[in-house]
Amino acid sequence: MGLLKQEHVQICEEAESWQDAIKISVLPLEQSGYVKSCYKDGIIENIEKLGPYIIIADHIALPHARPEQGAVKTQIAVTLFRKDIAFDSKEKTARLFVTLAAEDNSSHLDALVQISELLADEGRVEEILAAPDMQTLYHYFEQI
Amino acid sequence: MIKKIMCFCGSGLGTSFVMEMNAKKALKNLGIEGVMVEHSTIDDVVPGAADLFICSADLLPNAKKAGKAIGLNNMVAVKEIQEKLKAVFEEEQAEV
Repeated sequence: MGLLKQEHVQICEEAESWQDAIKISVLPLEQSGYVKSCYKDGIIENIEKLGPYIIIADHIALPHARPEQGAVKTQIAVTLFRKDIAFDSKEKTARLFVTLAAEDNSSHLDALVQISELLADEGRVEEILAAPDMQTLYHYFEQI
Repeated sequence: MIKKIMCFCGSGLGTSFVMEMNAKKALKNLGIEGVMVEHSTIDDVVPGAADLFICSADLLPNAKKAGKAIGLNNMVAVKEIQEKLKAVFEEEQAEV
């Protein structure tokens, strides 16, 4: 599918806040022009309004906003934090951030199906969370 | 009777679609037929829009205002959605 470039995979030690984590997770797509700089603000606003709905499973966040909130071209980025990122409400935390930019409501669906199938396997999620380096991390997602 | 299920997330773009897909798989696994499943945004969540709403656990209070609802902690795996759908449909059977 080619929706993930190796340079859009990153491993970070920690982030100061969940807002900071969102900014970090969107940055590779912003630098490459796949999203406008307002995209991260859109995601943060959505979370402030609705709660951390982007946490799709234990340890996993799928930051995304609507195309009109600043997505330019369909693409994903993967960020793994070594330390848990806490969100305001309840005790929800995430370490793996799969950031999605979707240029329209349909083009990204194939990618989503593959992301969810990949992450539906809890054993594989454990392996991904323990990825020792970016190359290994990329390897799990490269078929998407 | 549950004839229409609406899955929704904050943006109506990503997670709601994944939930729709998994809800369809779960219904198939449970042998439940004749139920329409669609995905939408939180703005469409109003009473009467569907017979059952499915969303992330965080959005459950919003969904309950509109009707019967299921909140999920894991939206990518079929397991949780299937268990919760099974409980809802069994409850419905008991009421009939």
